[in-house]
Amino acid sequence: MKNKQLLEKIREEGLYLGIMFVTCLIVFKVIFYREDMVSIIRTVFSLFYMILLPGYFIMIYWIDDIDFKERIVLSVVVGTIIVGLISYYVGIIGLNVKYHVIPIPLIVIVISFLLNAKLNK
Amino acid sequence: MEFKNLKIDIEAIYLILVFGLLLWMGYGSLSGYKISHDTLIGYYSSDAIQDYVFVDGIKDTGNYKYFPPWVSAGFNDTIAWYSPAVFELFAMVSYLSGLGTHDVLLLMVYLFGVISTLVMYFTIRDYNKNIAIISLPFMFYMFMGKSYGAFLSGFWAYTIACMFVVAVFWSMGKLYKKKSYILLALFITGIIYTHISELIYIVGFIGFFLGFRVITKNATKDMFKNIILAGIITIIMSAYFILLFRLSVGAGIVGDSIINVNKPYLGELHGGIPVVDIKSFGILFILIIFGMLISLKQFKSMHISFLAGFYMLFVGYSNYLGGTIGNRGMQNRYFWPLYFAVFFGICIYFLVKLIFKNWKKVYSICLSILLLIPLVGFNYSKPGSYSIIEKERLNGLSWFHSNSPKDAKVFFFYGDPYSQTSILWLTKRTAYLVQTEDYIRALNEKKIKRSYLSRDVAGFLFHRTSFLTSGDYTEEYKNEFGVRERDICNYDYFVFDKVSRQPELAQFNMIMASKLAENENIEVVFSNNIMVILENKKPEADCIEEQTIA
Repeated sequence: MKNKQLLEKIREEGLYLGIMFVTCLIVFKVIFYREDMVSIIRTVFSLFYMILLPGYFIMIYWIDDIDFKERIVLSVVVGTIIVGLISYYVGIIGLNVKYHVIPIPLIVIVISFLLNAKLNK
Repeated sequence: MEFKNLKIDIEAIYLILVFGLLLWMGYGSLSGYKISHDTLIGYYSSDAIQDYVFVDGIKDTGNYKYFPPWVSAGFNDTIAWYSPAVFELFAMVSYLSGLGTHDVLLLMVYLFGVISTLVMYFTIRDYNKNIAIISLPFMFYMFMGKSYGAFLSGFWAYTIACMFVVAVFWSMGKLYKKKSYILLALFITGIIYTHISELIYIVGFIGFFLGFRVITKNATKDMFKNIILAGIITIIMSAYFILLFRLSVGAGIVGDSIINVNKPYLGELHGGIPVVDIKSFGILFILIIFGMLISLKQFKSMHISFLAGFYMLFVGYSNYLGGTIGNRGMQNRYFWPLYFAVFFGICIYFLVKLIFKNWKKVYSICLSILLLIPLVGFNYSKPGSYSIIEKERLNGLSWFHSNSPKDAKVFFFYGDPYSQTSILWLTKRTAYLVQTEDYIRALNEKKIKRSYLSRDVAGFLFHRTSFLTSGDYTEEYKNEFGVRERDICNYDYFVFDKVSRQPELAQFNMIMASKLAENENIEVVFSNNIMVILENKKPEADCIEEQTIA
């Protein structure tokens, strides 16, 4: 698969991810109906940004082999260990955990995307 | 946006329903249908509070290199070896979501339980989609009956590690895919960094899997190659942490017996909670047995989900082997609802196929819902939205955070919940606890004493002495740790409970507190309905006169 096709597929799945995000908001709001909407949005966004998206971008390597639903569920497991592990070691090196929040998931997402694009050539 | 390309995916809709229902059962009702709480909700055990203290400590210290000093008798260089990667992640989620670490920890533990279910679903789906869908209702046992105990009782590192265990089963079923060893390596690494004792069972499973495939002549060169590559990557990613583990708590484990058949675990409790047995699933255990028998029909090409089920049955009953293996093996029964679901599914599917030859996916979903309703209806009981520590007590213990020096030493007199010692770490100060027997003795003898038998409330105190060596503060300061006579006048703060299930002890607490408060160097600094905190402004000076009370 060429990079153009890969981008096309990611764009298509981006739509599914968006639908999933909204669905998660609804599910969380139904279950935690006593919680205000702002907290729900922040929580679901955090889970997506810190766990699901890094996992998703790592797993696009198997975009043709494993279907979207399966990859999304496994993305949570992959994202958990990758982001957690990097944060653990960056913390040990000396950077306070509060500064990991934005850059670490973002770096995982970008590097995974670039690597997958390179491997896909 | 190409919405016109979107198709209705009935399987996805059902999975979303399952996701929602499981989250509601596991955490929704427990949380009182709220994500954020101003106190601890759903913390039923010392283990649970310990995990919260560790995660919250990461935010306080900025990393998880060391355990916080308040869990380490004041030392600030004790090796942190417990669940580092996921705890670090939880601290991050707490920052971004704005939720307290106590809320994030609980939400994530239950959410990961739900994810484990979905991973198991996809593992089974690789064999047969209909069986996977029909298997789902059985997986709900995870948040019902005895299995739910593992979550409610705070076996959280174990339950999170099980998500990685299930993911290993999933990835072992994908060994034929390109670069599948990367995923396998990540999941095994997840186990190591979360609850390392599960590693031994996974290594055993990989051996069992390869052995089985070789015997049944289904092994391929790629299978071996992928597993070896996964092993190499895992070792590289885990080497530093395994070293830390070996230098800390692992050093003690080596001395324990791995297997001791003379001392099997036969009790009805494990870690204080009821042990899951195959009979825990009621009449459904007959279906599981039938499912096992049916699965043997395809013995030679047995799917990974069946192999995992049989293997975890063996692991669960390894309690008869005794030792560390037996103890940890028995714990694995709490996830039997996931491991055995495939047997349940194949049995039901086999029965319906006897009647309906042209079975469709939509029928499986309908049947799954029909099975789910009575299963959940009869077996689910809503847990209470409370904790072993009430809000007023938490307020009292939290008072120390901003009102006392960081190196303050706090002496706790008798309190009903303090046998769950992790509670005392909520002060974020070094804590000591009076020995109840000695305190009761003083009460019976009507004596006000200056020294009591007491203990430090500290976890493991391993510290590094070089890159490859470590020491243990409890050995190096033998005379200062453990249960020993301690002069209360040496402490900065005293905590007394005003109420108790044993009113005499609460009354004795109040007498002690009032005698101490007579000293000009001691004053009441916090008081509410259940506890009073006294500050000793001159530690090591005389603080109380030994006397007999009327």
